[in-house]
Amino acid sequence: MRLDQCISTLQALNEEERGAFRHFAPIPKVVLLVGYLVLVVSFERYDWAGTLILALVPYVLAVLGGLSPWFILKRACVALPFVLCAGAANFFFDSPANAAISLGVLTAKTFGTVGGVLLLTLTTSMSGITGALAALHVPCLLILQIQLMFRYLILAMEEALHITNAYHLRNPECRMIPVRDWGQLAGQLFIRTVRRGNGVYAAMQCRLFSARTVISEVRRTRKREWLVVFVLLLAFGAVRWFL
Amino acid sequence: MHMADALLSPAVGGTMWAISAGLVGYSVHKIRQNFDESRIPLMGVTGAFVFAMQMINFAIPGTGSSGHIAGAVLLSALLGSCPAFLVMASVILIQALFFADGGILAYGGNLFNMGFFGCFLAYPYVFKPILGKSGSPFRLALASCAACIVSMTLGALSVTIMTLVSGVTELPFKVFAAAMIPIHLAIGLGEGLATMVVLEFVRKNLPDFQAAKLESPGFSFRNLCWVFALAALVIGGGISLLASGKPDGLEWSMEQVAQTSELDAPESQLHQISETITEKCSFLPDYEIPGTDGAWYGTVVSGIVGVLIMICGAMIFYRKKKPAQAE
Repeated sequence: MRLDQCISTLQALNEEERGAFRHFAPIPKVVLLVGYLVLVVSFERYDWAGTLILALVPYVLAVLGGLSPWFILKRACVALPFVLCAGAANFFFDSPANAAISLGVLTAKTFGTVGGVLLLTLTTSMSGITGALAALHVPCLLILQIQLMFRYLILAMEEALHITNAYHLRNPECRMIPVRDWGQLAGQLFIRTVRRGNGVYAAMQCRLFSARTVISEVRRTRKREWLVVFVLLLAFGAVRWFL
Repeated sequence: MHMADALLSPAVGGTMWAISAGLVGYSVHKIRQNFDESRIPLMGVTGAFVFAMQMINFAIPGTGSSGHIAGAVLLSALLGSCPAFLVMASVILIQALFFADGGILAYGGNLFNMGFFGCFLAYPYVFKPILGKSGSPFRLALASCAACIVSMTLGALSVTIMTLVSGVTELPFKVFAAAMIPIHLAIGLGEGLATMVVLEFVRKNLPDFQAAKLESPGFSFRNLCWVFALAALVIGGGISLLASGKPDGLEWSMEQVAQTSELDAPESQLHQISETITEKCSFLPDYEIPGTDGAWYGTVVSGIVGVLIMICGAMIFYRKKKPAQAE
């Protein structure tokens, strides 16, 4: 993914949570996602029917929740290259029909699993995700680290974009930065990021930031939300074992 | 080097999650022993820096491909092993959640491949010894390149093994490894050079930066033993179920030559005694519980029992040897 695309993705995801599923508490969504992922990847190499049905779930849920399935589909394509290579290699070691099926199953699994994760991030804010992690007893040091890094990411990537743009403007015929210049650029980026990061941290401290109070409270889970998760997992399980 | 969820089976993904969670817990424990709030934003900044650097690919000379840094060795050199591992954990999580790079189920595997080898193996056991106390530019270049090559190659090998154990591809190990390792050797060399330049750049322009480093003593021998013992238990008791039921190399050869994989023992007295002793001692013959007709849990029990026996033996040996060392 290119730097400018990355920045726009981060800015888009940094906005408020959206879609009908934003009303769901984060913990049931995380539990549903983990259950879904396990079921999708547990399909055997040639179980195409069940895999295909489960792979469609995130996109159907996106449509039901008023989100664009194309946005998720486009982002899911990022994960495809290595998977396609691994799947395509089966053509050399398996019969063509079986290799085609296994490649299709791998691709469907990729679209399903990546789509599921993206659906979670689209419908849950960063504070919701970190709140859920805190409720699941993930160490607060790690959660704090994730929150701070998320804040600093856009700064670092903007700096990286400026540096690479400047490099390409000075070297218009150079498509890829050669390794001999890469280290110098990285060093510049590091120093600039540290300076900007220090400025942001000083500003946070001026607003009484403390490492111990940064983790937000997770939204309370209602019983019906657990019921929905249970029913959905049952349905996914039925597809997994009876198809 | 990010693996997608689709490339892993739940068993492999779950095992790697457990191992990585243990390593995160260990890192958090070590950082808390010497906790300083001012280091937290520094970790955030360096994490964001590595994240951004992973977006800037560099051309690998002579291969026609490009690569990016994994960042574990660079982070370890800037922050120390444990904080670097924690930063890698957050970088990989954000990549998985927001950029479809990696996956939630594959998170443990990706963290192990990109974080463990760089932070806990390459940095303390390759980078630091080569760098030495002088830290000359030549030694820094050598240390960076060697550590990055080691971490990248081990990571690539681990990706190969995890994908094959998960059973998603028909590729033989040799072919897969031959495709993965050479390119990662080249990427490792590129990453090593870049790491060296960044570290040299930081040393010249931010001389106070090293003061912020949180150096941890790394794994003690005892802790390392516990980690391997736990891994052995997980592999023996869990992953052994995924082992192929086909004959091993020797059995296969015997089947080809003699049409059977088990030959009758010669009728000499010595062989008879040996066979009787073996039969009496082997309480889990063929990795199965006698009388269960080859039930699946026989393999699990055999794996766990075998590992426990090895651990007990090692502990007895270790305790017996300790007083001798004291003398």
